[in-house]
Amino acid sequence: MHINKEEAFKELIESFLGGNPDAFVKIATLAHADILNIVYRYLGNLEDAKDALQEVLIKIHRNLQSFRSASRFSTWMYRIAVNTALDALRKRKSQICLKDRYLKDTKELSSQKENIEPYREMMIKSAIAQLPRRQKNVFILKHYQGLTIEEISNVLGCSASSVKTHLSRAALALRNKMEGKV
Amino acid sequence: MRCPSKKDWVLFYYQEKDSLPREILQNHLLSCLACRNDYAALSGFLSRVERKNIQISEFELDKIIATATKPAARPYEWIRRLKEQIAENLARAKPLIYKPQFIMITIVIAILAAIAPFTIYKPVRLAQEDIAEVEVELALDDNSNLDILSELLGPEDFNENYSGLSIA
Repeated sequence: MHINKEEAFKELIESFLGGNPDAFVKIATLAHADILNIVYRYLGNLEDAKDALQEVLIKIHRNLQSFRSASRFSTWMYRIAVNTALDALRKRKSQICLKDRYLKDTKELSSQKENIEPYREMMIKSAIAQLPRRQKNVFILKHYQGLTIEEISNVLGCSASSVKTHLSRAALALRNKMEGKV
Repeated sequence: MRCPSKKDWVLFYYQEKDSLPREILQNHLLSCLACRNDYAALSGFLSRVERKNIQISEFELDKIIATATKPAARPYEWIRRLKEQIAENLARAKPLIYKPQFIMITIVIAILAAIAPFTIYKPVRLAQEDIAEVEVELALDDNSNLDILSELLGPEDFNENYSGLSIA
């Protein structure tokens, strides 16, 4: 998250808390891409990701008054996005369904391997879905969102060394799983 | 130099610092073929993991934001409505004393409270009476046995030997 974006958030939040409801529309417009990308990586399909985005925005809208500007807005927002995505996974009997769906999809795709790009992407999605929760959290925030180790440790509430360990384990586990498959 | 760990190479790929400085790792890559191959495989794999951004149309975004900011769309709204309904119903409800169920239950409790002491102590009292009755019978049996003995022995011998056992 760029510093400029963070400052823009700060100004918009002040404006919203000052009684300008339109400021929230701007906050949502500015934040939606990051939120959508995170929840999509967890949920694996766009429809569920849109539902999760809506839920995240509802939570932000409802709790923005209790947000303390001592911490960064983006950190707070990422935390809500990760928790919402994990809740959504739990609700739909989570990873088992997701894995099954991916496996079903990959079976369909494996019959048409000439379409190699979607096949590989699907295999990677499946492999990420099978990662342990902490490794998946760290990998998504680092690889897809490009957060720093420190930012990830703030979002997930764990130490930087733990983030580093989970990141390396996730990357190596994914590589091992994908070896020979793509 | 010993080869860096796999964790070091993952962090090197993501340009994050760990125990080893970046320059040392870069120099090591130049000198160690095994690490160079390993890192090439790792970085090749990670660079192939797609990072394209997911996007939605402006129309969809507007719809989502409108729903998110609409008070009625908030979750837990139904809990608030339910609480209000319960409070309203309670306010309209008759006082408890006028309810027939309340009167019936009160009468039953009063009757039970009146009967309870007798029903509870009765079996105990009966048991004690039974014991007393048996004891009396046993005592009577003893007397009759002594009578028989005194008849068999004769009054003189009986008084001589068993005078202490005679029962008044």
